[in-house]
Amino acid sequence: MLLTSENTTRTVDANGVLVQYHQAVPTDSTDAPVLICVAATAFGATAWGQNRSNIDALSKQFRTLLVNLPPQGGSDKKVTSDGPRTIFYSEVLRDFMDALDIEKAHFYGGSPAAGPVLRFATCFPDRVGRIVVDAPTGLGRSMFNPMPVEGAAYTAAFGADPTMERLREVMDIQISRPELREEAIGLRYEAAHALGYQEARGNIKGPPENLLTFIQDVRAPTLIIWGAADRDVPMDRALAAMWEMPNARVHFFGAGCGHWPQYERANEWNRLVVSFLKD
Amino acid sequence: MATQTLTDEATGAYASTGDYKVYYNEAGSGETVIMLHGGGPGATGWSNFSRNIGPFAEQYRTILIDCPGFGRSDQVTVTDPRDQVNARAVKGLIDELGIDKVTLVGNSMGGASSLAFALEWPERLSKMILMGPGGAGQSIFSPMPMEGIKLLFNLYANPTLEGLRQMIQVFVYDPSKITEDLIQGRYDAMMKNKHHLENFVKAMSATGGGLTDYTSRLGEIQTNTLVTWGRDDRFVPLDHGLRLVWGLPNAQLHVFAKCGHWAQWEHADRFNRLVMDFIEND
Repeated sequence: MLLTSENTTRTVDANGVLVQYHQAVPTDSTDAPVLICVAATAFGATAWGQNRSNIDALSKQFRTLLVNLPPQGGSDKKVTSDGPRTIFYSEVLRDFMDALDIEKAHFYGGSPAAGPVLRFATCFPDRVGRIVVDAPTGLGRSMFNPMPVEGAAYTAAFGADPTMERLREVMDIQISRPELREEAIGLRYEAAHALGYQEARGNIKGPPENLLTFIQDVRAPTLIIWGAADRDVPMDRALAAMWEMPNARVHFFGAGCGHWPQYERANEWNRLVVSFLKD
Repeated sequence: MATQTLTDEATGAYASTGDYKVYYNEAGSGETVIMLHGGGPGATGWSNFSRNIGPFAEQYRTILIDCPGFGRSDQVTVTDPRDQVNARAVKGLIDELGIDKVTLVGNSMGGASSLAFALEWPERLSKMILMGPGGAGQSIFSPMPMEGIKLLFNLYANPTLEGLRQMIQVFVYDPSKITEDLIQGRYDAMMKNKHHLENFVKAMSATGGGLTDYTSRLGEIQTNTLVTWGRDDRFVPLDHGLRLVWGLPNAQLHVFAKCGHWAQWEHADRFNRLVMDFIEND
């Protein structure tokens, strides 16, 4: 069956918080390990937009759940929080697992979703198998690229004025190959303008967090993936994270890969991730 | 000569360098220090080194060259990499002026020009100062072209005040130091000779886009070299500084904090002291 956003979407009440997610499962197995892919919480980012090029390959091996954290996608527009985001989201993910009777899962999170996944692994270590992260934000200052990064001003401009033109500037920075941008722009724009989304954007606040202060405690084997041409989160942060973590390895995609390795290098990424998770 | 008496006009002269007629500024006496400007639209010797020529001229015969295709020098559509064209212009000028040996201070493109000169005429070179120089190829940590270089190319292709403002914004660490006068002055300089801008764009396609990559030849350069970098440089990546200090057999690297691509202007006093101490004592 061709997987689509529509035929995979579900919702669940996770301890009072509505969580919308996509599920796809291996056809030949009823007890496949679970993989939870947490979607980035950037303006207009969605689970389907992030992992649509991966769900087919991943769901041949794993019961694969692509999760929108509130208020992204179809998830809760009412819940609010002003504590550290990674902790709030860790609790949402725990409640989500409880609601679906999932004891343990592998996790994936990219960019701003990497923080919640890594924090979850420190709060609930028994419920985590292996972890894959793409280019986490929140790893502190680059040693080689002046910050704020090139992409920051464009992202802020799109946040303030969410036009197609502004969004195109963001994607020009984030996605290395021009031919891959249009589809990403379309999905992101639609989600950014979905009913009730912009009003709920400010619901989940919280102080800035530095992942380097807690990732030493992540015991789960972790694969850190980065595009060498990432203009949004500088690639030397992969090395910073690797040195802080007791059980991490790094994979760089080369010069043609920007901030979206799971999309820009989907086939290679799928093979790499499946192989790591089954290791 | 007191710093405040120096002006572009009072120190300016023309010389034939063989291939081209070039404009240069000269002040002071003693050992010769030649400063080579960067490759941005409207760049000239004076615009790059206005905060340096005074202090340097108190100790050295200090020369700022407008490279071919810049400022008041000849228009040119280069077919060789620009750094090599510039190096030939330096050689032509010192032949013309009867100067045996020089110290080169090369900013950005001028740094690549200095590397080209060092490889071709090492016997004419005393010391070399490379400031956020081009010519070191790919970065290990920063996607290229970098943010500033993208804006620079855009500005050449589409020279507007708005584009200039956008580029200058990321040029220095602290954009609040950039006055409207400076922007307007740079804009006027840029628009003064539109042929220079058009020729640069043509040359970009003719030369495959840029400066020579000297990384494989750094080991040949024995010249005593000081490399400086701005920590916050968005035009040429900081890791090139490490590459140069490893690759050049006789080099040091100095990194300025809170500094973009314009150390000699952003940290003029500090820069002048550091470089003059290097020339004098190292």
